[in-house]
Amino acid sequence: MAERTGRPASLNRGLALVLVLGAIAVLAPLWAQDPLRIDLAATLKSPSGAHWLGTDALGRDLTARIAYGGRVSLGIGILTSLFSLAIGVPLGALAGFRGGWTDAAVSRLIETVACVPSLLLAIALLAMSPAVLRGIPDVLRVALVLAFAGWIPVARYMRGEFMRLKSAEMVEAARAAGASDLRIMVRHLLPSALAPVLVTASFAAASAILVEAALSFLGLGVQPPQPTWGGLLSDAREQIDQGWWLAVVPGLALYGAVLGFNLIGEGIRDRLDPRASTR
Amino acid sequence: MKLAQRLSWVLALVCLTAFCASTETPSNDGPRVVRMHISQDPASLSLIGKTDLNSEIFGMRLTDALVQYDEKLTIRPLLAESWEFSEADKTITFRLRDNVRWHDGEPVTSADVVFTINKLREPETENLPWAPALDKLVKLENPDERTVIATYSEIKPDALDAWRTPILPEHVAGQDEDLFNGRFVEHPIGCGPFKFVHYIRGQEIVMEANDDYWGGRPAIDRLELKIFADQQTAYQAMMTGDLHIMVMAANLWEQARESERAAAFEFTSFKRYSVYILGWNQNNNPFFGDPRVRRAMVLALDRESFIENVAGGMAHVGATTFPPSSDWVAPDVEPYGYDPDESRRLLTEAGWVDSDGDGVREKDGLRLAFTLMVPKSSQQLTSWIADWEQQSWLDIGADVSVEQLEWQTLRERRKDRDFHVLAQTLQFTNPDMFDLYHSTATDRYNFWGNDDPEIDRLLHAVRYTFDPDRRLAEMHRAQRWLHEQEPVTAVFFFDAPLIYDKRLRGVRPSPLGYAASIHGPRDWRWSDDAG
Amino acid sequence: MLRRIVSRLATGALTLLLVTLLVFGLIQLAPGDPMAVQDDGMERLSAADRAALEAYYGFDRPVAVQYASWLGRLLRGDLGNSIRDRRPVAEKIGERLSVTLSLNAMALFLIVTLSVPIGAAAALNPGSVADRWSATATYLLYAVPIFWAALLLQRLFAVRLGWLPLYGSGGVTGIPRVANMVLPVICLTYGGLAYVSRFVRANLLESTRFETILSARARGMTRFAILVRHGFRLAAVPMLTLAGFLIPALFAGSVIVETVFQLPGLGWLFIDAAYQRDLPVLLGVTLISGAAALAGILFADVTYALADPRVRRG
Repeated sequence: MAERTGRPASLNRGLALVLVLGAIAVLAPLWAQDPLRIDLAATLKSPSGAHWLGTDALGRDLTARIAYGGRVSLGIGILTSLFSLAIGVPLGALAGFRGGWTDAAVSRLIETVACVPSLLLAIALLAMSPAVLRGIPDVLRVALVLAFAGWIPVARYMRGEFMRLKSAEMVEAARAAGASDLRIMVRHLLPSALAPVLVTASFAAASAILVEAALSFLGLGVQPPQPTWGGLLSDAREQIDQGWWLAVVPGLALYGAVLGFNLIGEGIRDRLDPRASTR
Repeated sequence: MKLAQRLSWVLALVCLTAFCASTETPSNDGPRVVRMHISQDPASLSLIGKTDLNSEIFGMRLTDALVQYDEKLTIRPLLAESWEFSEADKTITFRLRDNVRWHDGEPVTSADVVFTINKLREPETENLPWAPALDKLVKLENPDERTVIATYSEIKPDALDAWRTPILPEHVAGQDEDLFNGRFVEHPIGCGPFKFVHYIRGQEIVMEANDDYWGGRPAIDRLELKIFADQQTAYQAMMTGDLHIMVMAANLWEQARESERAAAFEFTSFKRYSVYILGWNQNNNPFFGDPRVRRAMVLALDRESFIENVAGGMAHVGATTFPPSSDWVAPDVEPYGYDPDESRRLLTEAGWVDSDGDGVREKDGLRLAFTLMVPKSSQQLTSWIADWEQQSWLDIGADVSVEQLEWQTLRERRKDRDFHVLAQTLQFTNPDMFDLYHSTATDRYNFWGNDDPEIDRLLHAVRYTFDPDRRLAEMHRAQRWLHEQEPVTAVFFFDAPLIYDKRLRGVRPSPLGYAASIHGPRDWRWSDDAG
Repeated sequence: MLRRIVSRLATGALTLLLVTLLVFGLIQLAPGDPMAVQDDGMERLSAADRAALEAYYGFDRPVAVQYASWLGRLLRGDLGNSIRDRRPVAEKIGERLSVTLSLNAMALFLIVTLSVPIGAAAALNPGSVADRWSATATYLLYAVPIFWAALLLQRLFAVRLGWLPLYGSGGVTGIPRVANMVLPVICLTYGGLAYVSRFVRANLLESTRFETILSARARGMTRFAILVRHGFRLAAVPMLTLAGFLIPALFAGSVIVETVFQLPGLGWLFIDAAYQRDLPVLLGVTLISGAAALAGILFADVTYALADPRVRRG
């Protein structure tokens, strides 16, 4: 079946989507207007030559807000998945490789965090804003809070992979050659385990972007005036009959990013191991 | 296929029942029902324990207070038919109305009043609106069934404010060991125009007209307090007729006016004594110790344009925290207009100059860079105002960052004086602004470090002067001082955009809300003609 | 075998304990004391009043003692009283449980019943147009924020067409009415279709008996029918593990659904409690949702152990 499911097409499509959106966002300062510039004389204007996608309730240029919002939304997605990797990979690897007490401890930790619904955890953390999270820029704070639960699937997957791989012959061979545990883990096991973990990381990015939108709706996401796609969408909800343009394009951008990251995940999975599952 | 088949049958059935159930629509015949909006479950139905805005709305329907405000915030008699102040003895003597009965038929007596006041002053009751206001009350007596004498250690003209507390029946509430988990909260009874029917948490509180109300039976049969946490859902409920009356955000109100259903509604707005303020921190603060800087910040705000273009016209500019629509306002104190040039001039005069050309002013090597602290809010308007202020101040050379904080965090920071400028809203029921500005009120609401003997004297006079004309004169003097010094900026006084079913009559909002005065649902009625 | 199950249950109990410890610890990090929350922001509580209340609620004791006493009461079946209205937490959870449970159960049921045929159709011809489009379509659904879907559905079915109730659970008894649940359940369902249907597809493709199944065509069934039928059977066991993780995810989604549709459920209770710093309620809700998630995971583990000979041996 492997030949039939190996479709790099979805990987390419996903990468293309994310890269295009990323480029629009990253290059925003080069071409877009000031996303914070308020113009009370031009509030809620529909798309025109001056404002390609119209203006919001404060007369701010929506094109610019979407472009700059992408920096925040994509940033949160990517940072969350990086943080998740940074916590999940070492913990999962250690648990899988060492087994015994280490494994028992990490497994309890994984199970504990997995049992608290992640959105509830994020809500509690952001609503009560503990002192340790104060002073951190919003993007980083939201990403950290999301990664607090986001590392779970990564660690779980990593643990499974390392458990499976550690009995492989090459590990025995390396050990016989006098390699240390750390060396075996980093040099021999990590490369083969890491790639499938990227699948999980890619899905994590997609879900982080969506969760940020949910948090914006609850008033707990990245704070205004900083635009985010989720924030723009949740604002537009209040003006559904006054400005259709306020919702459509941020919505499409959000679609694009979520779809893009998911396609990347699917693509990597199909390319690497058509038999892998979302587990 | 069996399993899948079974599942799809179940699915079809589920959908079918769903559609069948929905074909029955609520009819308007039969009992005359009014459904009004509240935004949250009341903290408790105990009326005096852990009260909040919504439990007050409920309490005012269920039972009466001794006195209550009318739509002009003038105190009117309710359970008390008359009262008498004695400045010399520091007492208020209330004469209770005769022949008032609780919903269960028992008579209302002075003992109920004494019981209620004593109960709400117990710390475990956690009564916030009234108990602290009664802290100068030293003795409470009821010489006979219809007389209550309250003796104070210090008496002030606004003392009646606290007597708006709802009165509870001692023979029911007094039996409960725990006010919060007893027979009374389970099924509260009062002596008000409406009786309690049932309460479904998160959904509704249903009440019915009290046939034996001393002030006459209300014209409507049922009053349902409908709980909607989400404004947008409440708006949709208004559109489907599931709600009859609510206050909504200005943009939704505007949207409703343009909707197909607009003809079915009455659109109006009322002025509230609720103000969006900016509090300038003067405690060891390098920026706002100088009144010129504070005034420069106000002059940089084009408030009229914001009201017109963003707030849908639903706000007014204030000169001081004294509400412009109230009788307390000094007519000669004009709000600052929009004058960016004067603003820049004042800053330069105060020593803030952009010497390195980066667009931000400096003074003695310190950049004019400060934070605007605002409470997190689900109201879009609040964050729009913050965005606009930030932009406006940037234009006069101030680098402002906005810090949106969850309410509890903000309160901690406020208490620690850990802020530059604080934005929040305040609501007033009387002209006593002692706690906001007096130099001794630092443990109350004077977070700004306002400290001046002149305003201290004026605030004291306003608080304790009984003669109305002299009191008004002191108020006006206080406003002139406040306007000149600008310790707190009254940016906007908000109007409340109100929308209700056109057939509903007798709606008379007060500055505290459309159901917060002596005239509330008890004066509402349905008109039969749709016009 | 029995020993395995017993020890698994024991670690489950340990996990539950850790969950409460985690939540308790997080709340201690939050600034501001619960007493301050009781004041309405007008700073009217005097220092003495505040101290009296703190003693009343036991917040003046060391954190470890507070936790121990909460745990002690829990063992006696007492979840404590809410700070917001001083009602027993168990009662508050009890009256909201049915809404959240029925919402989540219906959504879970729908996700599984819809995902299997979609996944099977995709597995039928991997890489085909059907496969690609089912992936794209379900991912598109996945990307629609719930608060928007809810708004559009409300406007169409409740306001414009008037077919379905707009909000609320509809029941006076606390048991929600079916009509009231249709829109909320849809909102909670559509987002889960993507991952679960892809999961079914992957499992079908992985199955060693895949070709054998397809050859059953000889018996006159369509390939799709065979796949759906075997999809349910084949995916059942791995899907159980997924269900264990779907439960917390759904519970989280129901927070927003409950807010928008004004359904008095546990998610709504939790948000309010988080803002109010209502520690007993937060702990109670986390305990219940944690127990539900854990039950899902344990059930999956045990069934998996029973069903899969490899695990049974190991």
